[in-house]
Order: sequence, then structure tokens, then C-alpha cells
Amino acid sequence: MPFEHLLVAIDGSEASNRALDKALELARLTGGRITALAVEGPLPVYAATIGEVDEVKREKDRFFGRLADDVRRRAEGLGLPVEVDVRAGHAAELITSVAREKSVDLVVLGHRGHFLRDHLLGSTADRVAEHAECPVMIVR
Amino acid sequence: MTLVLEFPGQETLKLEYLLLDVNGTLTEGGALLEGVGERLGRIRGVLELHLLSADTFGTLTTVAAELSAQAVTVASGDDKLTYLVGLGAERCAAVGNGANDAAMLAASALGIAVLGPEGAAGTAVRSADVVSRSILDALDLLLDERALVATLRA
Repeated sequence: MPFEHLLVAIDGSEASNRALDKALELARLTGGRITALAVEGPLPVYAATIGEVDEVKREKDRFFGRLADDVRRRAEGLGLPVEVDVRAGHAAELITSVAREKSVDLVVLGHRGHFLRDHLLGSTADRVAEHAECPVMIVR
Repeated sequence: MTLVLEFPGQETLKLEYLLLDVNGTLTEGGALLEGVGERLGRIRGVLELHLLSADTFGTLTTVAAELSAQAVTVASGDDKLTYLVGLGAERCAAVGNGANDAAMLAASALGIAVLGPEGAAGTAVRSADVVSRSILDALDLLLDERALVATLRA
């Protein structure tokens, strides 16, 4: 079955919300399931003290917790199964490797996200499209 | 958004998506052909645009941004067909000129093969419901329901 398993990359940005909407629409059309992958970037190097690092870490955990809850609420509202996976690392590499690991049928992602590196090294979307082994949909 | 095409004595088509091959169909050497952007801008009010490409020239996301279209990178004609079936072939019109478009054109509710600057593959032409002289003719046809119905009615 086409689109049995979709992987959507989420980071809370407007573009990633549109990607999630599109993934939910496709999953609803085909009865597919969704894995939503949130990628945690590294902790900022400018956080000078252990206390500051802990606070940044707590804020990050809260952010990704809210993001995961929001995705689950939206998917469950449509009666769609969803798994939220939060991992730390480099966005394009993680999205590509999780797509391979889970043998997904389609990767869905926004055309730009929160990642500063998007502007420095070419977009995450372009790099995933280049390296993924399945079709990649870049949502506008 | 839906484009409804009613054919006397035949099944009515209710189209929601337009799947477009990119290289050789919408672009030449990676650049949009003149007149394509304006026409797709009007079609976008009726059908959601999805560009399907292997992105040989690395310009897919730029072209998609210019057209406010979804960009889908695919590796093969099988991927295009899978994507079409995923959206629901009965909801899709498709436009292309290559051999790797043939399966998508055959399976879509409305398949249009176009003779681009690079010609068209025989399999694409044989798999289509309509063959147009150019991408501009094909897009004009989608913008003129009466002409499309006149071409396709039995």
C-alpha cells in the first residue's frame, strides 16, 4: 500500500506545522500511520554555567513535550495513529537515517525550519531530498 | 478545491491535485518555460500543484517556491506512480513527457502527455488520455473545461 508509513519532521515552526497538516491529510487519504520526528539541536555553547545549561535543558524538554502533545492531539483528533520520536543530532542526517531505519514510504517536511544551519549550508529539506531512499515531499 | 469535469454518458471526474513532471515538461535546462508560471498561478486556484522530479538540475525547490507548489523528489517512474496512488489516482490529473511519467499518466484520472522542447517518450504518449503540442497548450486545456470535455467525450 502506498504511504503506509509517513515520516514528518517537526520543530514547531510554521513551515513544519504545514508539513504536519499535509502528512495528516495524506495519512487520512490512505489510512497510513505517521511517525513525527522532532530533532533537538545541541545545547548552546554560550550557556556559561552548569545552572544555565540545566535551565536551557529544562526549557528544551518543556518545548519538545508541548510539541509532542500538540502532534498527538491533532492526529488523535483525526483518528490517526501517530508515534512521536524526539532525538538529538543533526537534522538532515537524523531525518534520513530514521527514514531508512523505519523503512518509511514518504518523508514530509517543511521548506524551512528553525535551524540556523539551514541558511548556512543549504536547507535541511534539500539535503534530505538528496540523500533519502524514498520520495521526499517538501511542503509550502 | 475541485475541478469537476462532466462527460455526457461517462463518469464525472472530480480532480483535486495536479501532478507535474518538471524537467522537459515545465522547465528547460532547469529554468521555467515562459508562460508556465502565469498559467499555473491560475490553475492553483482549482487544483493543488505537486511537482515530481528527480531534481537532476538541483532547482526543484526554487521552481516549487516560484510556483507555490509542493515539491516531491522521486527516484523513478515507480515512485511517481506510488505518489499518485497515495494521493488517490481518481483525484489526480497528471502532466508529463518522459518514459518515467508513463505509469503515472496511465493511472491518473486525467493524463496529459506534452511534447516539450525535448520531445516526448512514446510510452508517455501512448499512456495519456490527451496529447498536447506544448505545456502551454496542456495548461490552457486544464483552464478551459469545455475544450477538455470536447476532446475527451466519447
